[in-house]
This record gives sequence, structure tokens and C-alpha cells, in this order.
Amino acid sequence: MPVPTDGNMPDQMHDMSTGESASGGFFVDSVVRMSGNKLVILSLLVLALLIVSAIFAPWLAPYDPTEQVLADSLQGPGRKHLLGTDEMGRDILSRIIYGARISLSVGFVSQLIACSIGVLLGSLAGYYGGLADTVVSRAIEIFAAFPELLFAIGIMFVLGPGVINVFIALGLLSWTQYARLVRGQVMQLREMEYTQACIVCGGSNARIIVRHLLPNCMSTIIVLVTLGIPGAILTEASLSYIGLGVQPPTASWGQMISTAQQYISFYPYYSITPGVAIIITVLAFNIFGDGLRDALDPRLRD
Amino acid sequence: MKKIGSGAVSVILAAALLFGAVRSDAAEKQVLRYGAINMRSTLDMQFNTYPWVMDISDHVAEPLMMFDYTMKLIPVLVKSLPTPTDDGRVYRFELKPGIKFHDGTTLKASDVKFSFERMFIPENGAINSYIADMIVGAKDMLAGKATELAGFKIIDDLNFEITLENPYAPFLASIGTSYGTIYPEKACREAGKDWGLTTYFGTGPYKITKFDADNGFYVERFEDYHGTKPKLDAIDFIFVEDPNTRRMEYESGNLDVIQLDATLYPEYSKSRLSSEIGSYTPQGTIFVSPNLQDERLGNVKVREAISLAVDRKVLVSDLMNDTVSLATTFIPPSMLGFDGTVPAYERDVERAKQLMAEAGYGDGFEVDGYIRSEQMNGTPGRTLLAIQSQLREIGISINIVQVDAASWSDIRRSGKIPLYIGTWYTDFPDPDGFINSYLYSSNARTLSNNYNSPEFDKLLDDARSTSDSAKREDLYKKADRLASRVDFAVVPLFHENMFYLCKPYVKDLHKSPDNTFHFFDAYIER
Amino acid sequence: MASYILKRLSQTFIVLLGISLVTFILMNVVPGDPVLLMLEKRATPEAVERIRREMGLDKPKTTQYLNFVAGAARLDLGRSYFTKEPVMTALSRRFGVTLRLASSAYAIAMVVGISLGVASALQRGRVFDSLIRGGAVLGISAPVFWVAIILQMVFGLRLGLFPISGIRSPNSFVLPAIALGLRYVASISRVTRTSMLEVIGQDYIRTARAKGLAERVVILKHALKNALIPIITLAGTELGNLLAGSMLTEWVFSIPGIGKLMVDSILMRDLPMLQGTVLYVAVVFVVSNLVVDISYAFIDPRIRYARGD
Repeated sequence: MPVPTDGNMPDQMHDMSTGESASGGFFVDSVVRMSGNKLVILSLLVLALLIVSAIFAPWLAPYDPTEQVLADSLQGPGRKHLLGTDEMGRDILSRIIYGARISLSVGFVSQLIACSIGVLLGSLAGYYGGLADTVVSRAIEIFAAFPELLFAIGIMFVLGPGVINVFIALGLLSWTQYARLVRGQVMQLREMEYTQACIVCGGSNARIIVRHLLPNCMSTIIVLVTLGIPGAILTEASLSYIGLGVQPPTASWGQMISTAQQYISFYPYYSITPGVAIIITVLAFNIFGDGLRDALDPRLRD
Repeated sequence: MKKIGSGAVSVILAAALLFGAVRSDAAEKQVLRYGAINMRSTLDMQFNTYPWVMDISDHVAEPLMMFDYTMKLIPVLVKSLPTPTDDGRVYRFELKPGIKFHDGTTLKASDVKFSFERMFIPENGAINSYIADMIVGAKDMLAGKATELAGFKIIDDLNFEITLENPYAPFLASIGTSYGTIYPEKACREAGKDWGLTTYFGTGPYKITKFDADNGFYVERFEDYHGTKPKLDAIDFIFVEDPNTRRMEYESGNLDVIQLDATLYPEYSKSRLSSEIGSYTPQGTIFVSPNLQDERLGNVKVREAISLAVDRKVLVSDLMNDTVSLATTFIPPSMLGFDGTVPAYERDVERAKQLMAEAGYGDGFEVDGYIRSEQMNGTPGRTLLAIQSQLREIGISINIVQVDAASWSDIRRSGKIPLYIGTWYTDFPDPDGFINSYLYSSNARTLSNNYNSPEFDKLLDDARSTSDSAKREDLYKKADRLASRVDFAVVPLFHENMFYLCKPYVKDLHKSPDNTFHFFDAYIER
Repeated sequence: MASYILKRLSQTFIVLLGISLVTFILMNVVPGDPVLLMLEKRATPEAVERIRREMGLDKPKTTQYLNFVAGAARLDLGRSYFTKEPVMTALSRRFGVTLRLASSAYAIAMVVGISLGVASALQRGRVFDSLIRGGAVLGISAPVFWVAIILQMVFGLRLGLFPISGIRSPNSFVLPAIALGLRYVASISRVTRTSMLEVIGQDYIRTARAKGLAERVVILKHALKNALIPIITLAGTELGNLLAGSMLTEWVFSIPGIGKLMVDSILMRDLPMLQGTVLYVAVVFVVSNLVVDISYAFIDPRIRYARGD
């Protein structure tokens, strides 16, 4: 993870001239390059599978994830319940499948929110510089210096529990990374000859930012979103683990780990399944994101 | 060491020889290791209400009298329990002579007066002053209008007299709680804000020898204790906050005693640890608490429908695995005012639906059911989940809202919680500390229940100032029936049993219904 | 250089002020009142008002905040609402614990991460390399609290190799340090690998090899030494993250460190204690970044004159 340095993105941003070639051809090239990596293709398949099962959960899940059969509680894996039942007699497999909905939607939506805030503030700061830059830079530092989870807890307290609020909290949590990188890139692109030419020709500032500068940041942004999603999924799991995420009886993987922990010495598999579900999802996003980064924007490597 | 028979000593010595010198140290000293929770609180009982802190404080410092583990009030610092004068307002106490504090000073009536006055000095900010604010002059002190407690008269070093504003039958019970602990005046004054933080002692059987606010407290036997000397050499209160971690520590033999959540009882009762489970019955009730200010729940027909639709038998057998007993009223069975003649609640879903229709909610409604997040995995949370599923049958759909404890106390106080699973336990074994503190109109208002029945309040007012026990009992029975069977201000579900795990070599350990451990008689026999 | 550092320090001051203000506002917006929490079921209006006055909560918000800032300037962060203990005392005590945990985790992350990274670079393209790289991604993909729980169950309860919780014995920190260090093993091994690959390609390494030096000497003495700079840079930032991010690990293992204190304080709305812990984390974070930045400035003087500074 990049550090909140004082706007001096060490060396990695210097060579932005290649950004100009970010045409369709560049993206096609990248995809071709990526398809050479079997691991990336595999992760893409896993992600597709997860997304499909999240969308079609009602048809795929063998049971209603909230249906309680108290007399059948805490059964081991068996023919009737492939992954067993939980303490309220609910089918664990069905809850895992429905849980994918929460994790994936949290990942996507929160990063979209973060990205919107970050790109807006970052490009303003990078383009205008001066006071705008100072204010945004200090804001980035203040927000980045807050312990991540604590900040999420605080916002969840203010907003109250619920999945929509998790979106917002995680969005507010991770905008700084977007802002920092976009600011740096815009700042450099602004000094490019073609941008200066646009300014001299009297192009409006908004138009220059939207039409000329941001498209050149696109690959960076796409990579950041892909790599931000797994982080958001993990933070959601942490929030649900401490009881601040999605509300019961809705299934969430973090919450399942928290409940299952009580039974860990008797039914260890109950603790393991939601954990494995999280790992597979996050792993797939991480591998895919790495592959995407190598293909689109190798300079972002650590 | 002397307390153990010589037989035990030779067994221990033999064991020591077998297991080497390291083991012998542990075997010679009788140390009980208890898995406690760090409440991040001062030990000073005037400033906290946690049973977890009482567990420590009760063994170190004592009130004038206290409840034993059978909930009988016994004199501790006083020679006997005084009976009030005819009008029920004046109590005369006599202290036992020669009681020593851990710093070697002797207990005097002035220490008692100091301890009480300390509760009422507004700048101190004591939070449990309600236990004694019926003493004449207490309210003036709290309001800053007096600097001395007028109703407390020192006669000599050992004798003193307390006068109440009005007769209050459970007065001794009230000041016999841990909140009425007596502190040494001089040391307490010197410690100031650090009392209970870095310095804390009293007259109790154990004195604190290791103060570690982060990891736990170590208390050792006080050799000059005025009562029966305890058999244990020391108690190690070890902080392990996560309940799951605590159970692991117990299972791997690093703790001797821990609390066990009732929801886990079935698993443990089936395991090899089944013989190590101890149980006790706290005086309390689990119930649905509807908010009577809520438009829908304010309708008594809706509340009765809830009571009719809830399947208490399934809750008792399938949810709680028969570890609880069915509730028939709000007051629990072992308490004064419990009416054993009241029949069980009936279950009749058809009638419930009919009542819902009569109330104008034939199509049902949605309502928010609040729960504290730390209770979600415990009995209240699971009860709420079960009720949520049961009430769907009559069209009531509960949206569960999990909030943290601090938000909970704030939102509940503002009266904004429409419905929750109430868990109410008594402060002292008297209905005044139970039904009054929950349902009396001025209290119910702060608990998002909002029951406000002049008839009910009148019954409780009468009971409070009556000292005739039979008459009090009758009044409480009437009040309870009115609230829980006619007005359905609460919908009682069951009375909990609670559990703890205790290693087989720990003997004579008692858990009191007031939720505190009594380690006074305990000893270890390997 | 001095003016650069001075400038950064003054910015740091603004950031700290901002952080304390955000914390203060946040805590005044959230529902939950320490007084009600303290009084529990006996919160009569009179009692609430009395306690509030005693804690100074009856004063206007701006006064409360200014008092805090004035106190903080004198290094007096006030007393906890609940324990009444001075915040500074609690912080310094807890800091030692978190420091021990973080440095154990750090040691694991550095030793394991660098060795794996070097091994991976030397085995580039082979199965071993893929395994390590795969393992590294796996390491950052598992939820810390889940890893902690599983470690606790397997190595604490089942195998009985290490203490399950607390900090009573010297090897108490083993499991928490592994749980906490795991994700940093991943990032450090990645950077080491990349950096090593770059160095190995350089001329002087080829020369060293050509001179017939033992491969071990070439790798350790020449390659790794030169590959260390980016690793150390990353390590500097990770130390800050470790000191700030041990919250859930401390939670699961019942370790009384700063992270646990921070969670407890926000749960109990213990504002003075929360301010203290948040400022602590911010200082650690900002200072470690400052050190990294300044070392950059030493390494690469161009940065001092970078635009937008």
C-alpha cells in the first residue's frame, strides 16, 4: 500500500507519457498479455462463478437462508445439509451462498463511492494546486492517519447499522488512495505540452480534466478499484465480526465466523467454512488485480 | 496449609516429589485461577455496577451486612441485623469490635459515616447513591445544600443510628449490596481519585497484592480477617475478555473457574466436561418488552396477540434446550410476590390473529427489534431471532437492529426502541429492586417501555412503605398480575438458569443468584 | 534540509489538530452517552446531570475541545471517564505491550519475508517461486481475526504448544505475532523478490560471479545488501501499520495493548481515552512516514524541490 507521502509519489509516476497511448489498442494489448497467465484466468473464472452464484442465490441455495428448524440445530455436514446447520438450525451452505451477495456488493459499491470521492478531490487538487491542493492534501493525511477499523467503527456508530451504511463507511474509508494517486498523475499530466496547449487554446478547465486528464488516469483507477475490493471485503468481515455490519438474520461471512467461534471446540468446520469463503473471494480478487496491474500499469508495482 | 488435613499434605508432598520442584510450589499454595473480564472500571463499588467487578471487590472489602450464596442477609461488620423502630424509620447499628482494615487501622463508626457521605458529595459523582438516598439529608447533600448527612448519628466508635425519610422495608437489603461497601476514611481520603485504581482495601478476607488494571488482580489471604479465615491462600483474577478464548483457557487447564453462556450448555453437557458444569438460578426474567408509546404496540390487543403467538414451549425446549423454566408472570419464582397459582400462558395463534384484526392490523406490520451487539450470540439474541420467526405467523415482521452498548443505553433512554428482548435481574432479592425498578412509570419511561398505569404505581407505592411482609407480598402479586397478565406491559417468556465451569478439584465454590462468585469457603483438593 | 523538515513538522501539527477535531466531532455525533452507560438502569435525570457536571460535560462543546487542546499541548490528556485513570499513564503502559507485540510480528515478517523473497528470486520461474508467490497472496487474503482464531485453536488448545491468550508468559506473543505478521510477510517477500531480481541483473553481480566468488557470498554480500534499500523503506511504513493495526489481534488474544484500549474506548464513549489512543496512532503513523520521506529526501535530493510541496 502506498504511503501518504507529501504528494511526492516517489519515482513511480514520472514516466506518464505512455498514458497518451491509452487507446483501445492499449487495453486490448493488456488483455492479451494477461491471458497468458493461467493463474489470472483461473481467478477470473472463480470471480465469475462467485458473481453468478450471488446473483442467482435464490435458485442455487438449497434452503431459505433464514429458515429456522431449531430441532435440527448444529448438525454436521451430511446429505440433507451439505455443510451442516448452524445454531438456529439454518442451512450453512445456503447462508454462505447468500453471504456472497453481501461481500461482493460491499466490495463493488464501496469502491465506487471511494473512487468517485477520490477522483473528484484528487483531480481538483492536482489540477488547480495552491490552496485546493493544500486543503485536499491535509485532508488526505488526516484521514489516512486514522486507524482504519476504528474509523469504520466510528462511522458505523454515526450512521447506524445496515448494509447501505457499510457501503458508505467503507467508501469514506478508502477514498484517500484514489485521491492521492489521481492528484499525483494529474499534477504531472498538467505540465505536459499537450495539456498546456489546451489551456492556451482556452479550453475550459472542467473539459480539460474530464476529456484529457482523467482518461489518462483510467488504467490506474481500474487497478486501484480491483485491488481495493478485496480490502473492502475484509473490512466488512471485520465489522460484521464485531457486530457492526449487516443485520441478522441476513447472512454475512464475518458474522458467521463470529457466531461459529463459540462452537469452535465442538464444530470446527462451522468456523472454517465462512473463513474459506472469504479467503477464496479475496484471493481471486487479489490475483486478478495483480494481473491487471501488471498488464495495465506496471509502474504501480510495489 | 494448616487447614488441609495432614493426609492431604502427604499426598501433595508425594505428588511434589513425583513431579519435581516446579510443581511443588504450585501444589503447596492454594491458588484459585478465575477467568474474569476486564470491565475497565475502578474497583470502587460506588462508581460501577458490574458483577464482574463485584466478584473482586466483594472478597476485598465488605458492606455492613451482605447476602450469602443462598441470598440470606447476614451481618458482617455489625453484630446483628437491627430491627427498625416502631415507625420503621430509625435503625440502630452496633459494629463488631476490633475489625481491622488491611492497613492495620480499626473500623469505627466514623468510617461508616464517611463511606455513606462519600456517596452523596456531588463532586464525587458516585453512581450508586440510590441505594441509600432515603436517609434523611442525603438528597440535600446530593443537591449541594448540605455537607453532612443529617440522618447519620454517631453515638460512639462502635454505635451509630440511621434515620430514613420514610419507612423503607428493604433498607437493609439495599445497603447490604456491594454498593454499600465500607471504606477506611483516612486511606480513602489520601488516595483521592486513585482509590480503586491503584489503592483499594477494606475489611475483607483477601487483600490485593498485585494491582494490574490490564491483566488482572491477585489477592492473598488477610491474616487478621475478623471472620472465618478462608482456606485458599490466594485468588488470581485473570482477565480474559473474549468468552471463547476464556473457554479455551479453561479447557487447556489454565483457569479453574469460568462463566459459561447458557446457549453453550447443550454442547458442554454432551462433552467430557459435563461433570464440571455448575448451575445457579439468578432472580430475573427474559421477556418481550413492547414500547407502549408505539402506535401499534400501545394497543393492548396487539400485545396480547404477541403473547398468544409466541411459542414459549419451543423456546424452552428447542431454543434453550430445557435449561430455562417457563415464565408465568414477571416476578421470578424465588422472589417475594411470586404467585404460584397463576397458570401458564396459553398459545393460540388463531385468537392472536383475531386480536390483531380487531386492533386494525389484520395485515400485520413491521417493527424494529433492538439488540445489543454483544448479546447477539447469547440468549437474548437467539431469543429475538426465534421470536422474529414465530411472530411472522401473525403478520408482525421484526427488523433486527444491532447496536453497541453505549448507543443502546442512549436510544433506550430516549424512549425510541419499539421492541426488545428484556433481560432484567434484581439488584437485591426484593421485588422493590425488580418490578419497581422496571415497570414503575418513572422507570419504565427511561427503559423504552413506557408502562404508565396509576393503578399499578399505587400498588407499588403502598407496598414500598409497608413493613408487614404478608401485606407487601399480596400487593406485589396484584401488581405483577396487572402488568403481565392484564395489561401485557411485558410479555414474559422464561426464567434463565446460568452456568459456570469449575474444575473437579475445586471444592465448596458457590455462585450466588445475584450473579457473583462466592469464593469464601472454596478450597482445592487434588 | 532543515527547512524541509521544519515544514513537514508544521504540517504534522496541523494533521494532529485535524485528527483530534475529527475525533471530537465524531464522538459528539454518535449516539451513546458515557454517563448513561455508567449509570445503567439508575439513570435518573438528577443523577445524569450531577455526573455530567462532575465530568465537565455540561460545558459548551467548544470550551470542552479547547480545554482538551490546551491540555494536550501540556501533554496532559485528562483522565478516563470510567477508570478515572490519567490517559497518559494508561497509554504509556499499554504502549509497551503493543510495542512488544508489533516488534515480534515485525521480526517474523522481516526474517521470514526476506528469506522467502530471496529464495523466490533465486528460484525465479520455478515451482518454488510460484508456491511462495501464491502463499504471499494467500497471506494477505485471510482475515486477521480468522487466522488468529484458527491459530488459537490449533496451536493453543489442540496441540498446547503456545499460550492461548494474555501476556503472562514470555512466549505469549508467538501466536499473536504470527497472526499479525502474516500479511506483512507477504508484502515484504514480494518487495524483496522484485528488488533482488533487479539487483541480480546488474553488471557488478555478474562481475562478482565471474570472479568465481561462492554463490552464497554473491547473494548475501553483494545482491541482498544492495537490494535492501527498498525493503527498508517498506519496512519503515509497515512498522507504523503494525503499531496501529493490531486491534483485532489484541481483541482475539486478550492482549491489553493500545488497539484493545482504542476499541474499548470507542465502545464506552470514553472520549479522553479515545483522543489519547487516536493521537498516539496518528503520531506513530505520521512520524514513520516523515522518517521515510526524509530518508527519501536524503537518497534523492530532487524530491525536496518537487512541485506542489
